This record gives sequence, C-alpha cells and structure tokens, in this order.
Amino acid sequence: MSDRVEPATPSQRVLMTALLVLPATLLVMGFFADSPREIVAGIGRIVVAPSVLLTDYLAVGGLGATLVNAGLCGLISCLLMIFLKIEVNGPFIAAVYTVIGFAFFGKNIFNIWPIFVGVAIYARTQQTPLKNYALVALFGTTLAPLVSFISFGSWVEGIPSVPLGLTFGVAVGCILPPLASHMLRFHDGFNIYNIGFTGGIIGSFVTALLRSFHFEVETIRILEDGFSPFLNGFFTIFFVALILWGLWYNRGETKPLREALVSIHRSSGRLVSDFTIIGNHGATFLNMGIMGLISLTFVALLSGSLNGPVVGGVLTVVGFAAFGKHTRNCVPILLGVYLGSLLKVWESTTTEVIITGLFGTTLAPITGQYGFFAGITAGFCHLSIVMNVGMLHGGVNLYNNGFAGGFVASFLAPIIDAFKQDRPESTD
Amino acid sequence: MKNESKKISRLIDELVTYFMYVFDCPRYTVHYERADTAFLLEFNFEEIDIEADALEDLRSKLVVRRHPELEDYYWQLTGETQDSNELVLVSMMSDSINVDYEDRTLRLRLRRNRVRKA
Repeated sequence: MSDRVEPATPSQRVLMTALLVLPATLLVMGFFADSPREIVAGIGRIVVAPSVLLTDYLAVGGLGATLVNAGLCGLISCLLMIFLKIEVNGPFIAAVYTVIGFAFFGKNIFNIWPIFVGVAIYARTQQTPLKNYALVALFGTTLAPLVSFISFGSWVEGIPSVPLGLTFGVAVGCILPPLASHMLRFHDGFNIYNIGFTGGIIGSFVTALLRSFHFEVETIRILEDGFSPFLNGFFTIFFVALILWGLWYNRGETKPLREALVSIHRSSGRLVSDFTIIGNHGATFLNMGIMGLISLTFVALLSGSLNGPVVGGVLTVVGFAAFGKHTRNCVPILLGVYLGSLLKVWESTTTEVIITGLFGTTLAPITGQYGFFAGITAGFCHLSIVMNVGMLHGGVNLYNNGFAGGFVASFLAPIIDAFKQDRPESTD
Repeated sequence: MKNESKKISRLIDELVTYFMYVFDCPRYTVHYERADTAFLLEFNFEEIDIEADALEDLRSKLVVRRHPELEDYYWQLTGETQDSNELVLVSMMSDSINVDYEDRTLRLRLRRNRVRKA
C-alpha cells in the first residue's frame, strides 16, 4: 500500500523573500529615478487619474512615481499573503506579478483597497476565512479603475463622487468570488485570466448602468514611450537574474531540474496548472525568467516600446509562467496575433497589438491541449475579439484580454474538441 | 460549509471519469460515508492495467496537500473533462489520499475533513 507522502515544503521565508525582490527593487529604483517631492506629486496625479484603459502611469505620474506605485502595490499584495499565512505557490506568484504589472497602468495604492474590502465582506458573509478568497481579491483588482473612474473621472451634480466610487469598488469586490468561480465553467479553464472574464462581465453590467445615468465611460489612450530603454535594460537584467536564481534554487529540490522542466512543458497550462507542484519552485523561476526574455524579444521584434501597458503585459506573462504558461504553449499564440496583425486593419507595431500578443497568452491552454495550429488560430481570432469587447466595459476592466479570451476559448475549445480524433471506445 | 455536497459529488465524478477515460475501467465501486469529522470516500477500480510509470505519475498528482485558498475558487472545474490537471485539484481538496494497486485493482481511499465555520 502506498500512503500519500507529504511533499517537502520549501522554505516559505526564502520563497517570500524571492517574491518580495521585484516590488522592493521597484520601490528603491523609484527614489533613484526622481526626487521624493516629484514622487509624491506624481503619486498624487496617479491616484486621481480615472485609470481606465489605457492610462499609462509613466505619462501621468512620471517614472519615479510609477515605480514606487508598482512597488507599493506589490508589497501590499505580499503583506496580504504574509498576514493570511498563504504559501508562495504558482497562483499567488501570478497574482502578485499581475498586480505589479498593472500598477504601471490602472492599479494604484488608492483604488485596489475597496476591492479587497469587498472580498473580505463576502468572506465574512459566508463565514469562510478570507484566506480562501485572497486569490480572487488580488486578481479582482482588475476592476480597480471602476473606483478611480467614478471617484475622479466623472462628475454628476449633487453626487459625492469619491464615496460613490468606494462604494462601487466594495460592491464589485463582494460579488466577485461567487461569479469568478461560476465563470470557470464558461471556458472550462482554457482562459487563464478567468477573473478578467468575470471582471469584463461585471464591468459591462456596471458600465451599462452608469451610461444610463449620464455617465460617459469610454476608453482612452495615454502612453509614454520615453522610458523604454531604461525599462528594457532593467527587466532584461531582472529576468536573467530570475533564471540564475531558479538554477541556484533548484540545487535543493528533490526533483531534478530537467525532469521538472519536462513536466512543466508537458502541462497543457489549463487551469489549475501550478508549476511549483507540477515541476518545482526552481524550474518555475527558471521558466519565469525565460518567458520574460521571450516577451521582451516579442516586443523588440515588433519594434515596440516598453510603456506602462507593455510592461504590464510582460510582467503578467512572467507571473503566469508559474501558473500555466511556458514556451511551447505561448509562442503559437504570439505568432497567431502577429499573423493577424499582418492581415487585419491594425498595425503590428502599435501598443494595442503588442499587448494583445502578450496578454493573449491567456489562451495558452488551447495550444497546450490541442496543439500548435490551434494556438495560432486562437491568437489570430483573439486579436479581433479583443479589439471589439473593450467598448462594452469602457475600459474599467483592466484584464480586457481575459474578457476576450473567455469568449475565444469558449468558442474554440468545444469546436476543436468535437472534431479532434478521440481515443477509441472499448469494443470488448 | 456551503457547497460541500456538491464538492464531494464533483470529486467522485472527477475520479470516476478519469479512470473510465484514461484507464478504460470497466467496473468500479464507490463507497461514501459522512463521519462526524470527515467525509470518507473509497473507490475500487477493477480490471485495469496500470504501468509502473503511470502509477507513479498518478501518485505524484495525488501527493499535493489540501489548499483551501485555491479550493473555494477552482472547485467548479472538477468533473468537467478528462484532463489530469484536475487530479491535482482533487488532491488540493483532500486531506489524505491512499493509493493501493494490487491484482489489477486500484483502491483509492480519500478523506476530506469537515471544516468548521470561521
């Protein structure tokens, strides 16, 4: 008989320290980039920005304030994990990196809190520990711009906008957990950014209500490309360091690196693919570094710049390289988006196309499950869908690609499934 | 806990579907018991041939500890397809799993502790 053996638990302290490196570095770098006075002023501008898609905080607040905002949002996420005694695993690595990434264009130290409070209230009503919904709380900050937009981006006479914005934030935080869990069934886990899909549904619902009361919710386009060389240099060094750290960390793992990497790359990436379990932590860090370099290469090949949204896309890919994404299942998606941009009405060098490629890897499980050409098809279709769904929620849902990805995955997966060669039923 | 019965039935669905699909299992029995402190499930999948590698892979997927911080979000994915990813999810929803393979029968005993409200 074989009893289940408790897996060796890596030192959580070391892993949390590793997770804290990026936000701490961003925070420190922010103070090297600008003076404290400029940073405070910049953070002030970031906080009162409506923050709907695409609001590049590098343009709004400057480099120093953006780095400090991203660092602080990352630290808040890590502190939440520490406070709730949550282990550093694939989903939470993805969540923290996603929060940091989107803190370059939409999430800030003001607008994420009402979502957290809303999720906490939901947990209380269910008499369930907040820990059980912490992942939803972190990813749920996709709707943070709703708080900022109502607070600072709209004005209706006689309505105190900031309390109204906070109230909306808490309210959507309250309804996120049950909806997020339910929405998984729509795409069967083939869309990795499930809360992006959920946020899109909620955002569309709320935006429709707001529009019917004279609020004008529209996407905007504020971008700053001037810091691209600096950001490119920094993130290249950081991703190489992640690879080296992964190689070093793997010395203490029981599963050999090669075996762990093979396990990760054999995984379809479909939810729930925690690479720290399927492989191990060392191989996961290595995969994150590799995916980071691939993302930067993709941006460079398309002659793109590292502005806020593109940095957000790169960091999200890196985070999800711990939770479903690897070279084999992502590259076909990137190719599909690129091919689409060559044939369709959008220029391949624009920020919109580049971030569609990066965030489009939410569909990586389609490649993982159905193969290379299915991945290219998914990427090709995704470009069209993502360019058409943003208007529904007016940019208040930051994970617009997760929203679009839900539609693409739920459309493609059943069709491919129906026509694929199934294993023969036993005829005995 | 809310949805506890649904979660248990999804666990059964997931494991039965997996063994029917992957190992072409022609006969199985499931025993369910709600004890004071835990839900106990016992599966016997009969007349199945499992290679040593496949058995090792199966055990590796069932070695994960319970993860309440993931369970309440992702449990609705169980029982949907034949993907082995969901075996990890089964494991994340269980407090202990014993796997025993003998005479072409795989016996799997699963315990899920009943959680008190916060």
